[in-house]
Amino acid sequence: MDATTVRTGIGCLMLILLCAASASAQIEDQLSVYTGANAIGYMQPLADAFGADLNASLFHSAEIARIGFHFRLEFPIMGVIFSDDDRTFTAVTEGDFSPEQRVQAPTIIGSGEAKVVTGYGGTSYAFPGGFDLNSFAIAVPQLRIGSVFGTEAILRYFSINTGDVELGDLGLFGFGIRHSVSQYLGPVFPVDIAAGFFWQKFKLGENKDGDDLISVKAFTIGVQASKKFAVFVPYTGLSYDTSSMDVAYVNDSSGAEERIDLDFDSTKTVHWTIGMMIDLIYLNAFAEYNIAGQSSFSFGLGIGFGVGI
Amino acid sequence: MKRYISLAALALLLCAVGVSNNCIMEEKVIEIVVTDKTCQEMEENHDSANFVTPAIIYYAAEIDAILDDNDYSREDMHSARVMSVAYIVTNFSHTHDWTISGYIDVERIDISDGPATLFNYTSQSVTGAMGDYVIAPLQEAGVELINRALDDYIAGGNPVIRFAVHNGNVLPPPSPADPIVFNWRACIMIYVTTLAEVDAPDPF
Repeated sequence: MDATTVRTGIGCLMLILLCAASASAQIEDQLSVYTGANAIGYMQPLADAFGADLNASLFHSAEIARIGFHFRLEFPIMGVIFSDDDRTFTAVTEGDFSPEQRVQAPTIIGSGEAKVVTGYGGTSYAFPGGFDLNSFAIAVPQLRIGSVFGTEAILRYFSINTGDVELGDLGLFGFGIRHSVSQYLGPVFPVDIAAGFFWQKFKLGENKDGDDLISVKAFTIGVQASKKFAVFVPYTGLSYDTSSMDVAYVNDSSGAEERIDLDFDSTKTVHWTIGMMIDLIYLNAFAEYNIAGQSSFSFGLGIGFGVGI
Repeated sequence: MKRYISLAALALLLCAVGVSNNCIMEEKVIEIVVTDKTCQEMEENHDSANFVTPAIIYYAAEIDAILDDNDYSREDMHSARVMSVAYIVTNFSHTHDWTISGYIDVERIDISDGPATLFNYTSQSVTGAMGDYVIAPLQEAGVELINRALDDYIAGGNPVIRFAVHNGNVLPPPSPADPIVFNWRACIMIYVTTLAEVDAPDPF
């Protein structure tokens, strides 16, 4: 993997993120007719997907050397495949429309077509369409560096100023620590064991007030195990994940602008990871599946050097 | 074995780069909903129970303003419909209340369409319509007329609607010594849908 490939990879990751920012401008338009429960129902699949994606691909081995320098830059792509259940939610007509009606309307990942219902006197009410997504993925560069007394640090970071007042900035910062448990178990223990935590915050888009449109926080703590067979490293992990999402936008459905702040309830889930890494000398490739409240998968590449990478 | 591993790594690399470029981006057509209202201010000052108060609504200009506020244009519009109508008394300073009955109709004056009753009001207390908007019990004929005007706007027309209050009864009866005087506002809430093409990341 030469420098050009690395630059291409980073460029591609930025492209994904910029496209996500582009979509965020439409998200506020779609949300602007919703308040309260409708807005939460509309956005819930995205909140779940963010949490699942962010808490994936944080480890690909449980082997951490007790002492020795290692450094690895990784480019994981984390994704979820949505189910049919994610595509609609029970929405309620808002405002002065009567009679009040409950219908299955598209969520943010549902059909692009608006759902229209009719009321008294030939009136109509429209629920906005979604983005018609089958999947949602995040690509994040992450740096793994260690180790001191069997401990390594993991850092995720990017920040992009789109230069567009409507799109705003987007960025992610995440930090975590992993510690080798194997060092206390002796050399005859059959698998490598590690434990760690990771915290991160992701923001996307800018609302009409100039604040973050979407802000996501995620935290995970867990244990991991792996075993190296030549270049193959099967790995697994069990963790406890939490994630929360805040959405702030301007609602103008009544004709007057009103700021809406939505706090999505924190999602808590047990998370089981199974994956495989192919560990070459300076390059490794990995793929994993994560079984959790919202299951996800991840794959990617890493480049690095040092002891115990 | 190493060759196969290298090929696998290369395939994954190509997949990742490919996915990162065009493969993940899909053009989606999404129907965006914008809601807003057009309001008409009315002044009533009458010394008899039977009065007609007309108002002209230049609907094309009203919808142009709604679209402009939301950074859309007429060409972006896909559909538009009436959601509700509500009214409120904005100024009233009598020492006693009035109860009024009548109806409001709408008529196109740019073409021949209508008049059609939009809603009836029966024994409506003037002071009872202060503070909060009163939701009007709409009639299908009037709503359909406005919906046809919205369709004409989308088709490139410039609909103009005459909105008229036809009052038939007032209690107590007004007189030159005690005229019924109040200001009120009627608002027609509409939704507009537009079609937007968005490149959204949908990789799998």
